[in-house]
Amino acid sequence: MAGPKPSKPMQSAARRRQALGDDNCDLRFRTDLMGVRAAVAESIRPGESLDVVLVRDGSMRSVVCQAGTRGTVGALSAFQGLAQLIACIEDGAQYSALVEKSSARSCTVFVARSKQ
Amino acid sequence: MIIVGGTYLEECDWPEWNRLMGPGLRAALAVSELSKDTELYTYCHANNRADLDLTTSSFGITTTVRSWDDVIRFFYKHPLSSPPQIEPEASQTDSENQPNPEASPWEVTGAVVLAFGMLEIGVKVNAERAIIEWSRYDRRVIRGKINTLALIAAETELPEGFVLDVNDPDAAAELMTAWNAELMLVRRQAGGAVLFFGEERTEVPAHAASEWFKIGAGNVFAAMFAYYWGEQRCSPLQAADLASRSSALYASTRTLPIIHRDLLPPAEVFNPTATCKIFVASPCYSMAQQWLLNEAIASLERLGVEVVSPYDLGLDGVRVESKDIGEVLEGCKAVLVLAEGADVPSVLAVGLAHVRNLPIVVLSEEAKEHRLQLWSGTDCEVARDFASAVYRAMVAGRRNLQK
Repeated sequence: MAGPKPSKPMQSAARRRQALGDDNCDLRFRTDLMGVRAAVAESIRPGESLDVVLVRDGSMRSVVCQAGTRGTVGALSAFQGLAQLIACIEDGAQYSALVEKSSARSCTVFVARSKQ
Repeated sequence: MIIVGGTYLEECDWPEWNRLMGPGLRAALAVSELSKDTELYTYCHANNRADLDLTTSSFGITTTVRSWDDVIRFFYKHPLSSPPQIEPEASQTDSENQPNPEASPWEVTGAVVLAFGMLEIGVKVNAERAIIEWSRYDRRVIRGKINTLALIAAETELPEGFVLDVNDPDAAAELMTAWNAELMLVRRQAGGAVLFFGEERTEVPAHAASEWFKIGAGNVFAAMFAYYWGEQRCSPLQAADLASRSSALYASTRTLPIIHRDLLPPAEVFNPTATCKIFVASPCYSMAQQWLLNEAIASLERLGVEVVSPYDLGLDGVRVESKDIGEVLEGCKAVLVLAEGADVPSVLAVGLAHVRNLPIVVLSEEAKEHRLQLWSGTDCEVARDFASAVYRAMVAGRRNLQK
């Protein structure tokens, strides 16, 4: 990864917010879904709540966001804390993803623990 | 295809982006849906290893991962922040401060190999077809046994004395000869690229993105070029065009993997080198207002745009040669409105621009609908983040020229 010499690092707002959780499973974060499925994504609207679901395929585990019976919108992936999220779901924690922005090719969500 | 490159944490405030990514992982994710046997060679800190493994396995990517002691993190205030800040400072990229200068390079061999410079170690590439992301700031990728080589470089990272549109045929020939490369692509700052292939120099079209998340767009360009040229054996120009379209899609959506070329949405083509003058309308009375205005001016100038602003009217209190806003707008192709035009001179500039049928792009970061309603029915384009506003104003200005 190239570029000129940088200056002293700063801490992003997202990282500062991460420190606020009450326990290891009190995860709250904003992210863009990966592998967005256009057929489902174009049917969802900002403000809609998506189910956060752990999917197992043999030894592979992934976390996806589902829009009820319409199916999977995309995956929660490529972020620091994915393994923690999966461990929490396996321990019984439940999460939902609030759609903040969406189009046929993209979907931004805010993920937070559901009240149980 | 084999991809060798770093996996790093990336953070951006506006728009928010908090990812385990880096050039290697991003490129592998980009091609993973199309190239079914993607392999990633990368370094990763132990704390992020599980996150990396879960991510790559769910996209069918095979990995060879070496451990690194430091968590390497890139921070951007916005996607046009240049350069990004890197943590820890020991990972800085100047050639005198390599983290591990004595280490043997990581030797990677395959039919098609895409290599990015890594902060952790040098890379030696052996391949039938290789694609190397070249940078004057990073000399850690070494040519091994390669049948056919393509070099890709960003316009801002060319060798000293290599200036695009000035001496590029000779300079490209010199670099290609030094590397024994068959072709070279130079990605333009504003979009598109220039292809040097044999004696020929060809412009690769710039495809307009609806938003502009620039972080990693060059990695996606390289990945998709490697896939189409290296693996699919498309012609260099066709592969570069598909890479340019794919990169614009990524910048618009921030989503990977990249979809099949038949599904790529149609994208407007613009001339990234067209002469373009833009007026940036913004209050400039406070430090915060001036900081944002300065960022916009610097970002547009890096895209080759001539900028005029309230500074040219003396609205920051510094005396200037007497000019009215009509004169300053003369020759402008578009107007970029910051701070939602929250001052009288900005409102006046927007009104005059409207009368002159100039395209107007408004930065409106406030998501509340009632703020956006201020601009409904005005034909103004609303951008929701700074980088997208700057970029869309540039595209609007260069599109306008073509009418």
